[in-house]
Amino acid sequence: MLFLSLSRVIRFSAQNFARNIWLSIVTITIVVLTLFSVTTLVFVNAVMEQAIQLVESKVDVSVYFKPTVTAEQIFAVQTNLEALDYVRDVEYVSKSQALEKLRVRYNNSPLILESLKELNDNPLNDTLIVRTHDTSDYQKVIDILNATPQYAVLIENKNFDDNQAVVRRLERIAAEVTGVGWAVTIFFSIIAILVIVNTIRIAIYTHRSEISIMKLVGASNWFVRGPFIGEAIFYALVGTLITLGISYLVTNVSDPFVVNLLGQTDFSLLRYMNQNVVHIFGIEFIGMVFVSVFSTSIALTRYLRV
Amino acid sequence: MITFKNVSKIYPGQQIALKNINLDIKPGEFVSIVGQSGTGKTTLVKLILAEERPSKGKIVIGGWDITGIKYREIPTLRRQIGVVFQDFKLLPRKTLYENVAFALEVAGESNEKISEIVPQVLKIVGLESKVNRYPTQISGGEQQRVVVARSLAHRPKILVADEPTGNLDSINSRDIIELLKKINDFGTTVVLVTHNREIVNDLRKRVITIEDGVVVSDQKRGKYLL
Repeated sequence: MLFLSLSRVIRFSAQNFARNIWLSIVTITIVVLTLFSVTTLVFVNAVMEQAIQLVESKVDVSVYFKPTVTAEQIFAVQTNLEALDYVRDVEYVSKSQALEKLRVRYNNSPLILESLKELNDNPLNDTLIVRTHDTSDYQKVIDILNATPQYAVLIENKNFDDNQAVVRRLERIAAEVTGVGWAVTIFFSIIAILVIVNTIRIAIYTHRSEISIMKLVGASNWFVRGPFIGEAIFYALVGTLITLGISYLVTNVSDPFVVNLLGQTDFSLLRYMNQNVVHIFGIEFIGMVFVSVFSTSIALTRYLRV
Repeated sequence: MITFKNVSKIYPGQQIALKNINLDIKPGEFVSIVGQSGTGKTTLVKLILAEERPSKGKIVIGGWDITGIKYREIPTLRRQIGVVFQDFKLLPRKTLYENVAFALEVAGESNEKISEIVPQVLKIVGLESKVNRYPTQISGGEQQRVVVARSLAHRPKILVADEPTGNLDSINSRDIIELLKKINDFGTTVVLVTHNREIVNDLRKRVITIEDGVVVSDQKRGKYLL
């Protein structure tokens, strides 16, 4: 009996979906627009996260040691800094390596290269480049270096202050970008929910006499509600599949630009989508089913009391 | 079969639709309920179908006291009563076949039984050749015949027809009344609500006259009095 009723409800849902094709197309279009907006936001957030990581990876604290400091002393500092949990890595750059890097970096600047040749000695110092897991932890590194007297006597120069300002600014930008991203996502989601709820309400309003007829010939509430809910699930399913298709298409087209933009990272939008396809579209489908079923049930309740 | 004991229906605002109605309709009877517009005939139909609840009194349908019927029990009651309305009330997105089948599907009838019964009842009303049409593709008279077929599908013991000829011309009206008489001959209790004098006088069956929510006359072989 339950299986018979369920199979009838599914059949009625499919019939309603097909026979009311224009209303179905309009509703699906809105579902697709909503889901595509959400998907776009997910992708923009992913790209933004990568961009922030890229910029963050460029930020470090450089510690320049006095020429008299031995390599052993520098390694001892390196070992101590590496022992801190929030320090990701500490890179030792000898003064000859630093000079070589400078030459490579200014390969196209003859003036700088000429100036370097003029000098008899290597003017650069041995350096430790410290990177932390989180940009907010740079301040802790700076504090330790400042507060420890045995470090202070070894260090000749530090670019802490400059980096501090950059790091703070970056943190502020990252926080703002994340905040705006969330605000936009929430704003879009609210609009999407309102649009979907109203579209379904209108669809049900147009069928209110049909609902009363069903009730008058003895249909139970579940038998009336079932096909409408089934129809809503169809909208969500078809809408999600179309969004998936469009997203693949758009991702394929935009991936070379993203790869180019984030050239120094190993990030590809297409790969990101492939890795998260079930996660992203699964959640979107479930969310859309929930919104559709909820709004269908609410909209129907008014007309079921016949 | 249908009993009303001191039934009153008062709508909000102290609007009295029915006042102290006492009726006893026996199984197999053909009863016409007549009265002018706004006298409470449709309210009476709504009470039988549990679309409305009485403000006072008791209603018993087929031995079932439906005065305080629970909301979830209403579909079970309606599956035992065939209903024909003035405005047809067919499902526009379903074919004639599907409209008739729907009344059986909601009752959980098997697919085999449905495919056996639906063509039979559509044949009784003379629409066996139009089963795949939609309600908008047939005439008003034909639509009403589909409604009669639908009301017959689950072989109800009671058939309530609320102004079934209200939207039909005289030829189609006569066809519908003939169908109702045929259904009554099979033993179904028919309650015909109408204000069509000609039809009531031709029937020569029991006539209950309502005026301002009160039963003013109940004749065994009656005529339209108003």
